[in-house]
Amino acid sequence: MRTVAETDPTPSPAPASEVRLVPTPDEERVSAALQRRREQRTPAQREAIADAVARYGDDPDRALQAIAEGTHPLQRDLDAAALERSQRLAAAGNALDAMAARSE
Amino acid sequence: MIVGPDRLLAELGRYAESGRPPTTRDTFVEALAEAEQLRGADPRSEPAALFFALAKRSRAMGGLAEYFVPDIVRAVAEVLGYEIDADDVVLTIYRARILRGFLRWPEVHAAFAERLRPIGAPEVTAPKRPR
Repeated sequence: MRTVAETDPTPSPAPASEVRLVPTPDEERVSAALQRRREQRTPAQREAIADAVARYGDDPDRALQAIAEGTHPLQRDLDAAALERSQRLAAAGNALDAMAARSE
Repeated sequence: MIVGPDRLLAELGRYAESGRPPTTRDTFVEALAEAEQLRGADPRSEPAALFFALAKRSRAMGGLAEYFVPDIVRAVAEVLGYEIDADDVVLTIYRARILRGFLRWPEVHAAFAERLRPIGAPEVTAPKRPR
């Protein structure tokens, strides 16, 4: 006698906890997209990211403060309008987070 | 989710000079479980959910998070047929605020909903005022 699993042809997705070393077609496409992103990154962009990591590490307060001031390395390539938008977004985020921190 | 923990771990390793990811598979198992729950049945929410879950765990990836989190989220969006209309500075702002614990899922979901558009779709610009 055949079990339900044997008669049901629908494959069930592997749970995230199951080790899966062979990439799925979607994962292969994601890998290819990542590869393109790494290759398209210019030396200046790589240097900016490395500088950001060296300066701020994983300190979100200092990183946001620098963006609000327009001095974050990732802002080097921005045009004037994008720079201003990023400064406003960071400043607004700082203000909202400060308000949230006070109310906690 | 269209990527599993083993693929995330392998891809993160490609960003490390040593070739070895600075975190464990468990980090990504947890992140993907959270992202899957946040995404629900809406595949369009997948990039936002993945971004939120990975951003919260940025410290586990060390400095590589600065490169990897925006890249993997853009790559996943691309495979799903979308692009994220935000430069890396904007994503850094969101990630830093998520790390501080004050930018929550509903806000991230809404921000991505505004910034996600089908690949090749024209940029949305504000309508001109009638004279």
